[in-house]
Amino acid sequence: MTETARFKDCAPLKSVLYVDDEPDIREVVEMSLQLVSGIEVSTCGSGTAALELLPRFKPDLVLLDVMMPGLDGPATLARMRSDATLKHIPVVFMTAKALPQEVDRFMSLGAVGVISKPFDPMLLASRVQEIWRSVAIP
Amino acid sequence: MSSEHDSRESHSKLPSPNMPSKMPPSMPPSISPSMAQDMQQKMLEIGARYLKRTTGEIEDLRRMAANLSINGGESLKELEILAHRIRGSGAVFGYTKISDLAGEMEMLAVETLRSANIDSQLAERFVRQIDALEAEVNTCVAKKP
Repeated sequence: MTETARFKDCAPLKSVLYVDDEPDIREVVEMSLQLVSGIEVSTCGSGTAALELLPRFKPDLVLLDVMMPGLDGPATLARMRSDATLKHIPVVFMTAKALPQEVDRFMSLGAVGVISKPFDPMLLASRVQEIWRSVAIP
Repeated sequence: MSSEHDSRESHSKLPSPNMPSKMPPSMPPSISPSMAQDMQQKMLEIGARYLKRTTGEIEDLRRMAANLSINGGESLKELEILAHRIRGSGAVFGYTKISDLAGEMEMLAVETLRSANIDSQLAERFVRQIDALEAEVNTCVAKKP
């Protein structure tokens, strides 16, 4: 299948939940995804808040910061995977600790991708779309 | 990853407070020049808020360092998380030196947590790092457009 045909077959990414305790980065991610790709973005500042919001918002994809006080990224993912209503939602980690062994660990936890911090706000949307296409196309 | 993507990645960095304000020559096709300008302006505004907030968080770092002798591990973890946050955001907004200084603090917290060796010199080491971070934050605030 050609790349163009694959893109046509892929359901567009419409909504994302971004979870990060850093308010400035939440704003940058929201701006980047909304402006560049027109994705509906909801944000929250903790894993606990995400678990409360997810059943109502039901995003196509969750972007999770790894290091957060309280429930961190991996713990939040584990809670999602043990919840029948949330376990199907793809999760991408965003982290400043994107060493190869860490990336392997995150993927083994069930993440579908890892995005390194710092990221380029101009390119974030295309990176997220790239990961989305890789999980949306069988 | 395609070569086109690689090419975009190397040319499309947003101007940061430490970089020239001229937009880069090559952008992803989905970003129009006016959109890029909007994003640049917004990044400057958010970056300014980051600096202001970090100025306030210096006091939090000092409090955590002062509490090391009372509740070592807990304060170290708090220091690690806050330093990590300052480091990550500083890099996104182009405040490289702030990011590096916060990264050194994060590393010291991580290594100390790993070794579980909280000695009498540790708080002083953190205070010196916090002083350096505060000086750099003040420098960036003074340079802010």
